[in-house]
Amino acid sequence: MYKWLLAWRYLRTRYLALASIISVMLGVATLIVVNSVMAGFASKLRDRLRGLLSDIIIEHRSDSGFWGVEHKVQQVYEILGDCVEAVSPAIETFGILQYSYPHSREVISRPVLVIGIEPGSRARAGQFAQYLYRAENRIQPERCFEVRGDIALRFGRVMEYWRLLQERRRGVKPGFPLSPLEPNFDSRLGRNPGELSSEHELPTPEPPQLPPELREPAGIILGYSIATYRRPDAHVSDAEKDIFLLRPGDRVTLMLLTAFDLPGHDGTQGLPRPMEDTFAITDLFRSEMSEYDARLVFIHLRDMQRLRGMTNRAKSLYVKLRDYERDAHEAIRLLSTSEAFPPHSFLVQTWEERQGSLLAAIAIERGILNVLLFLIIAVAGFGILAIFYTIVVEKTRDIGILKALGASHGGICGLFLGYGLFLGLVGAGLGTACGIGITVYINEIEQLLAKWTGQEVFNRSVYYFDQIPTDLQLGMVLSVNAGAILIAVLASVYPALRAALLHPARAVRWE
Amino acid sequence: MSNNDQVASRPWIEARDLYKSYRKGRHEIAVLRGVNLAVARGEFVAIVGASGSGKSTLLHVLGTLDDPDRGEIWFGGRRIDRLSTRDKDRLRNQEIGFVFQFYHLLPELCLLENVLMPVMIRTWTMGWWLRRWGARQQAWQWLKRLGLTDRARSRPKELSGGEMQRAAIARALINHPKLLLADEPTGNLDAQSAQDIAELLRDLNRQEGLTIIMVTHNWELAQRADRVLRLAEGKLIPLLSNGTFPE
Ligand SMILES: Nc1ncnc2c1ncn2[C@@H]1O[C@H](COP(=O)(O)OP(=O)(O)OP(=O)(O)O)[C@@H](O)[C@H]1O
Ligand SMILES: [Mg+2]
Repeated sequence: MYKWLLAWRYLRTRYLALASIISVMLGVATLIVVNSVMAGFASKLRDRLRGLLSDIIIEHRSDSGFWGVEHKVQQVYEILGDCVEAVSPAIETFGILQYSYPHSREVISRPVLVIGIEPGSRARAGQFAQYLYRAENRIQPERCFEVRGDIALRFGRVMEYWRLLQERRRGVKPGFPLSPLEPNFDSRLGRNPGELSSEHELPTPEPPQLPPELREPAGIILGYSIATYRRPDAHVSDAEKDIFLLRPGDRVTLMLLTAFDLPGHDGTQGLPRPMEDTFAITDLFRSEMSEYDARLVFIHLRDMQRLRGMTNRAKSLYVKLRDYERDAHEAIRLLSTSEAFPPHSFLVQTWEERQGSLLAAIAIERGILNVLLFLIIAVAGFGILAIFYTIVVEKTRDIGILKALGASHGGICGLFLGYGLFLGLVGAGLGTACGIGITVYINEIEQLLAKWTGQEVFNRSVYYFDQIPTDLQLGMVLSVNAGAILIAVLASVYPALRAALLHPARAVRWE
Repeated sequence: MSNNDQVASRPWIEARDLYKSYRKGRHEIAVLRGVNLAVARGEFVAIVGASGSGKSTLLHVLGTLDDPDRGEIWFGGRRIDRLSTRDKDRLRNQEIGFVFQFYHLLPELCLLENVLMPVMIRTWTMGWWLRRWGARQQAWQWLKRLGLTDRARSRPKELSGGEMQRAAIARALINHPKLLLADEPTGNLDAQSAQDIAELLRDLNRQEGLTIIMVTHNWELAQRADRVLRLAEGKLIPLLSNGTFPE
């Protein structure tokens, strides 16, 4: 009994012990915050990676893909049966995107990763629809490549502008045409300048005045960072941080290579031939993963097949399962052993296998950081050891008195172990409170720091998340606490033994 | 007095030929060199001696705080210098009370808690919660008897030397020990306080039949004891009948 009473009193009266409490507290708080933020980043990243792909990806090893899209989709349903939720075919290839900003007229071209998809099934197989910029397309993803409504209006204007520009060059018509970016361009269409329609107010559809050959232009969805750039002076709290270089309704040209070697005109062996087409931007794609937003371009699978000469062909199938955790393993086995997808021409992977190296890097990073931070708590442990040792020396006479009154070795040992336990408990408790507080209010804290120091701590142009993502896990908090308390108790073992083995007569004489 | 005489006939505490030496660097200091002591139950024995003669050492050895190099200590028919550590702890807790010159109260605890400390050491955490009320009653009675009731909640450093020493005596007696070992209990007190403490010890001896072995410098205090012994050259010498020690 006296152990607890004295341990408690020592805790309250020894201010030296405060130092160990603070070191435990800081260690625990740091571990909780760092782990939560890293887990937040990791889970957001996993989310995005998975959302961009699907659960299982069946990919043909050749760039020209496989023949019979409908049939292969049907075969996936037959092989996997009930556990499939959606299957979506796709073609991925590299292409060159060309465009010019209306006010500069300089032609810009950049390499992009072009993905031909069936928007309806793709939206069901992954989170494609969620990343679309325009609300109406998020609701109706299957129509996201359609050039309609205000997009058709703007596209008509843009095309008209380019036609006029060309005519003027050829000397057909003098005078400079109206730029679509000039204020009265939009107001002529009955809208505010630069405004994109939202789901609330759809524009009154007006028949687009398009040249006959462009009556039905193909739609394209550009990565958000291709079409915009971040204002360099943008502040965290600004609503409009990005400047749009290209908007839905603008014109781009996409150049692709055909999938097959076409024979040359003179009968010789030919090469893949470049094909190009004009597209109307129908939407932007914003996954908040800068890598993808700066490189991805989506077009309809139909257009991809047409341009690349891949009639009824696709390169990969994206398969979404009803229960990934339960069925993934079995599904991979069934697919890779089936005759429909022989391994010499098809690669069957889960999304995790596909992103393996990135996910592994995150896991390793987290592991190493945890080891480092636990070393920090271990340093705090040595601090406790030193402080305890000092307290034992200081309390030598009292230990002698306790022994003279009949306290056993075990009792004295328990007194100091209990003291260590109390220090650990209090430090870990305060640390947990701090850590959880900081984690919950991390964005507010970051903004405050940014305001005071004038320096953005969390650079949003790098990460694209507007908030620092956090994921506070109960298991992590508990194990961090357990670890810290264990270290505090372990650190008090040596001083406790030392106190227990003090010679009572000598301890009583101690001054 | 008659009661005391009766029991004094057979020794209750007996030290036989005790030797104790300390090693200080190269040379050894032989502090106790064949101490023989026999104390009857209920006796009040005072031990005097020059500073450094080994009085504290003797008390520590008698109270099992320290082990003798040679010799035997018998207590109530039991040899106690060979007991296990655990039994010695129990003996110190329940059968022997210690009072020190510098009071040796625990500074983090209030007087009441200091007095209760031997009871707390004796009982397990659970047992303490059961016995707490009774133990407190008892501690209060001791504090009342020693006139410390209004100081019960004070920390030792807020008290005078006399008050602290009275609290230390209460602490030594809370577990009803049969033997009280007092090492210069009045060494740090003014004359009046020393007088009070002496009176108290005398009363305890008379009324409760408590056996006391007290080390002191104070001749007046020593003379209140039933018997006075002198520790010199590592041996105990009894007082001659004329009230002086042989030179
Ligand atoms: N732990 C120790 N190591 C070495 N020498 C010691 C130790 N304890 C006591 N001594 C020595 O033993 C001798 C006796 O000491 P002790 O304290 O018993 O004397 P004392 O009679 O109580 O003196 P005082 O009247 O001053 O209290 C002293 O010379 C002291 O220096
Ligand atoms: Mg002494």
